Amino acid sequence: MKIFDWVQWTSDCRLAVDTEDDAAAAAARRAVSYELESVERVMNRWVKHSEISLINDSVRARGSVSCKVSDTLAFLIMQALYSYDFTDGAFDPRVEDSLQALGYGAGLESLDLQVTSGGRLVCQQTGSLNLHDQVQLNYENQGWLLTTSATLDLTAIGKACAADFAAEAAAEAAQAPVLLSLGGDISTAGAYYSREKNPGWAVVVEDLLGDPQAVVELINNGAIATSSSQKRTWGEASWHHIIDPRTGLSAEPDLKTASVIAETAAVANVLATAAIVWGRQAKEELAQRNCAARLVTAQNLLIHHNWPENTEQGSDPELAGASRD
Amino acid sequence: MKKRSQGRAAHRIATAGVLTLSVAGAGILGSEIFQEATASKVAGSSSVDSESSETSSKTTSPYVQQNTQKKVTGRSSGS
Repeated sequence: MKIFDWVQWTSDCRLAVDTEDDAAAAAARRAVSYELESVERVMNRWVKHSEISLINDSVRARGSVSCKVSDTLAFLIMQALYSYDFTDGAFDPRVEDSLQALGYGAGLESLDLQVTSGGRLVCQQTGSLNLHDQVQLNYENQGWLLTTSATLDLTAIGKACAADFAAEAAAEAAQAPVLLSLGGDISTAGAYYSREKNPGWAVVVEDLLGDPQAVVELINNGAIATSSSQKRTWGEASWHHIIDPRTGLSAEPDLKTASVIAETAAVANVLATAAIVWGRQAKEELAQRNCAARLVTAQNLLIHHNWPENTEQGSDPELAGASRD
Repeated sequence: MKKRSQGRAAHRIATAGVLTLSVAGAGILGSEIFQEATASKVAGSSSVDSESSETSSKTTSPYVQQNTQKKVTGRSSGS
């Protein structure tokens, strides 16, 4: 097993390659870098000249914009449009202005989160406007045409899609099974390269140290994502970065943590984010969607949906032999 | 972005039954995609446990199981 750990996008990242071949592992790591850099160029809201930053600046200046976009950005926007429908609007990419108004700004490039704007509340409530009325994407003349009157935050879905893209690319490069974690969004790929009958990956699911902890095994190239109302918090009002589109403010922290297992990290991430927004209704909402989920309430109660039995490890992280990357 | 890996990711998502699209085979954008996405919701396929620290639901997900003594490799936490 070859393991690479690094920090990217202010997140702890890990690539595990099930091989003893150094060259194969190195090829996998290079493939991951290539994929992540490709996604970053289009979706990173912290980078002034990323494709999405230029589009958002144009929307702010003109009110709306119609422009050609890259295949990669088109894919992410399609994912966002789909995810909006799939979650009945609980996932909404139009939270960019709310995040900025609440002070979730460029200072977050560092791991020490800081209020950057004084938190003046001019948050946008997006719930009353249908996303499809503001954002349209069409394929015309051999290219993607985006028309939008809303600024977009594709950071979360971009990271999850990047995990899926890069895991596939790494497995192909190494001809071996891989696990790729980008800040807790974990995608696995290449199970078909394994000589094992059961090439699963054991994963610790735990938000903060001391929180309830579970260990599960991802199989069949599965993916897991965890969203938290406990991290990326700032300000005296205890803002966090998961915005409720109905209010334009941080979602009520009824849930501390939501972890979702699905076929892709993109789907898992969207449902985990939506679960934090749904709060007390999350278990009913997730039951209507095809996934396995583990929710931790503000009172440390556990809620499972399609989750395997006997996976909870107690509150002592050492009991599980957690790998902290 | 390599078309190859992008296509694979799109395929994985499509086979998850939640989205049917192909960046390479564009031209299918429109309401049909969103109708498919909406139709992919699974209604009442399993029950949800009441709030409890006990965990008793039987998994039906094809992507997860109890750990079979494998060494922990990944960690999923909020980011």
